[in-house]
Parts: sequence; C-alpha cells; structure tokens
Amino acid sequence: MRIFFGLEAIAPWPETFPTGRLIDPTSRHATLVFLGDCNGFDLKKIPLPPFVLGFTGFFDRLLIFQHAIGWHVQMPTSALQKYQETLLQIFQKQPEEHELLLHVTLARKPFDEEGWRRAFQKLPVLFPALHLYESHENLLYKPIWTHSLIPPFEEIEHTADIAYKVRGRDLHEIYNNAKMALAFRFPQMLDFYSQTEPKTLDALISDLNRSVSLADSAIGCPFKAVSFSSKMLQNDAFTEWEMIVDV
Amino acid sequence: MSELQKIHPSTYLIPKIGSMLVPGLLIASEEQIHDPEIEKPLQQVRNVAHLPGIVGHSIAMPDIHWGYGFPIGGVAATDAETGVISPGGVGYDINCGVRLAMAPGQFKDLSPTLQQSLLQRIFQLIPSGVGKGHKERASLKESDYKKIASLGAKWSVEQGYGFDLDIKHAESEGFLAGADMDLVSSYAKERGRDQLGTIGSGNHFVEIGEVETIFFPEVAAKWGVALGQIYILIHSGSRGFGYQICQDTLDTFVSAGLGKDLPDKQLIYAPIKSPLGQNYFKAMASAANYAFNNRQQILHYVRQGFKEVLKTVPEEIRLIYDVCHNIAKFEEYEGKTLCVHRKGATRAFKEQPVLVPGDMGRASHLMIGLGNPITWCSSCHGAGRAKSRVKSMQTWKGRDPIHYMQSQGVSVLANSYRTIAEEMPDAYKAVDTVVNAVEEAGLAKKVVRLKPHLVIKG
Repeated sequence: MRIFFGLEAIAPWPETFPTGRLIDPTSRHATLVFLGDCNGFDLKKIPLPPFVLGFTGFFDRLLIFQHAIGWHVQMPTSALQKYQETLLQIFQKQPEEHELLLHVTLARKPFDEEGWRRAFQKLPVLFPALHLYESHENLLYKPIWTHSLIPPFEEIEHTADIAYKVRGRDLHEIYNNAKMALAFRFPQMLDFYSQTEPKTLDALISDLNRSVSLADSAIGCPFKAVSFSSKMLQNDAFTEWEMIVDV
Repeated sequence: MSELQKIHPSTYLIPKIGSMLVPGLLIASEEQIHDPEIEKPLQQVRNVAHLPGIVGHSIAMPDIHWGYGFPIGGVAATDAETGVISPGGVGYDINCGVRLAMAPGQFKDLSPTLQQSLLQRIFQLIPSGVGKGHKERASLKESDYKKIASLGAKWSVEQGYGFDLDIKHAESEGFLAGADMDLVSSYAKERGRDQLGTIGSGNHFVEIGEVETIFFPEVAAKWGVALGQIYILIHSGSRGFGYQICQDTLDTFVSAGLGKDLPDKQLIYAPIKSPLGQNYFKAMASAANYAFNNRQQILHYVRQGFKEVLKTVPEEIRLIYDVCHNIAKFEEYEGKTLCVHRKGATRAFKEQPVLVPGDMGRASHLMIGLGNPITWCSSCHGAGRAKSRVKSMQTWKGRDPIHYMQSQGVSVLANSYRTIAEEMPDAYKAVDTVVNAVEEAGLAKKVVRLKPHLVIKG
C-alpha cells in the first residue's frame, strides 16, 4: 500500500471547479511526509504530535505542478515542520526531498490550466486532524490511522447572534483563528484583515471590528460587530475565548 | 426561580441583593419564569441594577433574552444629573424600530397574481440583505448628514420621501434633539453613505398582511384600522452607521479605562454629564435620526410599489406609528429628568400605539400604551428568539423553508436561503404569550392582531 502522512483539509469550497480529475472533498489534504509503498507498516511507530490544536490558514495562491493543481496554504508552519522532521527521522526519509510546501492538491491531469488560474479563490482552510492516508484508485485517500486535534474554533449555540469558541496557545494564535472562523462564514473578510499584532483582548476585538467596518463599507458584511462581552479562559494547553458576533 | 416575588399579574420583583442599587422587575408569564433559559438574561438584569444613578427598578420585558451588557428586553432609567449612560442599554443598532402603515382595501381582494407582483416589485425597490445599498442614488454628503442630525425624518420628507403627516405619527415626530454629526466618525459616515432606505440583514423585514382580529374596536376605529384591511410593517434601524457609532463609543470608553471592574464589559458606561457621556448621547441621537430617515424612505418605496402594482394613491397609505426599540431618551417623571434606556423595549405612553412584531408565520400586534410608570412607560418590542441560528439552520437543512411558508399562506423573499432558514417562525417565541403578559401587567392593551402574508427578509 502507498501511504503518506497528511492533514485533513476543510474549507468552504466552491460548488464547481474547472475541468480536471478532481479530488473528492472528503479526500482533500495537505501532505506532510510521503512514505510510498509500505507493506506491513507498524502503526505503533508513529509518534504522536506535540501539538493539540488544529490549524487554520488560508489559500493565497495557485500552484501548478507537472501532474497536479493545488492551492498553497498561508499559515505558520514551524510546529508542523518540527513534526515533519521527527517523522522523516523515524521513517528514514531524506529531508531535502521533503521540503514542506504546504498546499492542498485539488485536481490531477488532464486539467484546464487557464481555467484554474481564473478560478483561484482566497479561502480559509481548517486542518482538524492528522491522518496516515492510504492511496486508492480514482484519487481516493482513506485514513488508516487518525490523530484528531482540538478544533481551533467551533461555532456554538447563541440565541440571538453567532458565537464561537476560539482557541490558541497565545493571543496571536487566537487572533488568527478568530479571523478564520469569521472567514469560514464570509470568505471576503480575508481581504479586510489587518496584519497588526494586538497585545490585549480588547485590542484584538477592536482590530476585528475595524475589519468588519472596512468590509461593510466596501462590500457589505453579514457581521455587524464583535462583542466585548466575554473573557479568555486558560487551561494547561491553550487559551479559549468565546467570540460573540452581532449579525 | 424561588427568589422572584409576584407583586401583580405577570409582574415579579427580583430582590435587591449584594451590591445591586435597586431591585429588578420582571414582566413575564407564569410559563416563562419556569423556563431555565431565563436565568442568563436575569443575571444581566441584576448586573444592570448596579449602574450608578439607576432609579426605580432594573426592568425586564417578557421577550427578554441575552444581550450585550443589558439584556434584550431591558429597561433602566438613570438620574440625568448624577447617573450614567451606557451604550449597552441602547444596543448596536441604534433606533432599531418598527413602523406600521395601513393601506386602503381588504387583503382578501388581492388576487394571488397581484400579491406576488406586489411582493416582487417591493423586493426590487428596496435593497435588502448584507451591505445592500441604493447604488442608483447619490451617496449621502456631509451636508446631508448635518441636515439629518438637525431635522430628523423631516429631511427625508423634504427630499420627497413621504408626507408631512407621516412626521406627526412618529415617536417624537421622527427626531431626537441633541444630535451632532461632528462627533460621528468618518468610518460611520462611510458605512451609512448608501444605506438609507434599505432594510439591512438579520431579522429586519418589510411585511404586508391583513388585520386578523380586533380586540379593542373603539381604538381600532379611532386609528382607522378595520378587520381584513391591508397593513404594512417595517422593521429596520440605523444600519452600519449606527453600529459603527456604538462600536466607536465602546472603543473610546474602553481606551479611557472605563468598565475595568464590570462583570460584563459591554455594560460600560460614562456619567451623563461628562464629556464622554455627552458625546455618546449626541452621536447616538445622530444615529437615531438616521434610522428615522431610513424607515421614512423605506415606506416611500413601499408606497411606490403599491402605486405601480395596485394603483394605490400614495397618500392613502397612512402611517399609524413609528416606534424606537433601541434608544436612550431624556424623559420627565414627577418633576425629575431621567435617562431612560430601552434596549429591545418600546415606549408605551398613555394612548400611544405600541407595535410588537412577532414572526413571519404567526402574527404581529398593535397595542395601545397605558403609560405605566413602574416600567417608565415601556413595553415589549417583539417575540424574542427561542432558537439559535445554528439550530434553525440544522432544523431546516435539506428542507424547503420557502415552500413550507407558502403552505402556511406566507410568501417570503430574501437574498439568501440562510436568512429565511434562520428566521423561520419556530425560531421565535410565541408573540401572543408576550403581549398577553404585557397586557396582564398593565403596560399596554391589545388592539388588533396582524397576520402576515407577504414578507421581505433582510
């Protein structure tokens, strides 16, 4: 069996794509380490990753390979790179052959290259789990081992508005995950986010609201304001913030 | 709920405990007080009772649910000399409100074809949904904003949107004194530039239907409301303009170090007499006047739709009333000036029309205010949500909400499927329960029950 480590990719995918041999949404992933043909693989050798939270990022450009089309992911990758190095060492793979270019392959040849150039969209992406995938026919990839990660954000019940639990190891991560939570509902928000580094929760909320204002002025925005209402709660592994958004 | 003390039909005292400055007062039915969901907003009622200068009670209406700082359905009055003003007691959508107009004729006389034509035409005339503005008109200029501040809804009438008589039938004649556009940011003006005369998104709407039941025939006759008659109900507010003003104020108050020890930062406040408090009031009044103009212009477009499709003379569509349900106003009670915050609550002066929108499937109500001072002459504002948007979407996933509404005799149009699914009738409490509690408590009396048939959702 041909196997590889990858992160499951979830995104608000467009309903249609240009022509190509499309990868099914349930099989879309970002590859970490390709192991190749490995019969009799010992799953017990897999080291658990040191990170507990899933990852978020966004697609920032199209990648055209010889045989495939992918969308590149923009997100901090230092934790993934360290884990990749660990996997390469354990499974005795050459690091230089496995430079981490984080992307999600969407289709294989034959594809309409020009159509794909036009169709690229800046969209948020969420990686909720790490899998050891096995390649099957017809571009299907099925997990044979899974390590689920804690969602970096999740929508929760709120009677009047919308609310999320947003998680992160620090304020910077919380800010990024909050941005992606909003972008999942309204991807156009990605064009209005600032690159500032807020130092406090209040500053973070003000920054998000500034982005909402800009988006509403320019194109209209389903969000009206991010509330100052709730605080952050800390546990051993991460901090959690309940983001409440007036709609 | 053992600490609630029933003091009057549908009226419960929440005892003053700890550092609360006044007791709370809950207007609710017997059924509502046993609903566990009420505890979170009741805690907000207790929080509001800590506001410096609060007078009387921290009040909760029967459509109460959790809000930012104040609960939605919350009322609190503070001493205008020594008390505070809180943006959380007004809400983000400053002067969100409702207006009711009556059109000549019976709804049952409109053929299905005419009904659909009317609905479609009004949907075309009035932008609804996220960010939708009037792109075909000139954007508001600085001079327009200044006139909106100084004239209120009268400015729109002078521009040709509606009639002088409309102004007479609006709360405070469609104008809140004290507005100052110099205190409003360019961000707010930019957001509001193309949004006058638009519904917006969320739970805002235009609905057309018929008078289904008359409870108080003498008042209905006096107001010119007949059984079966066509009504128009509009729900909208100050759009991005008002939201930005609220946000700017919260940012300013937070930067000034206010609200550090509050249980909920959105309860942040400033002394009314302080520069920050005064500036907020003036900016809030600017947003209030923008919202009055917004609803005035929306009614104009509805009249246009009726004229084009039904050949109705526009003057014959009469405004019954326009009410605010997110506002802070200075009002006199027994020789004292109070700042009355109504957040998801409606003014209910004696003999004043009180408008209570329900949901798009069941009903809305027209009531008459009784001027009850215990709630600072306030009443409920609507039905209140019973179900989250997440749950609503889950309930309707894979189903056709539009088809379902048609089976209930209601045609709905909106710019997104999501809006309709989130706003289905089962997402809301039963408005009849809410208005019955209001009536039992002696705040307002039912006049007519309205049944929607044609709905445009934001």
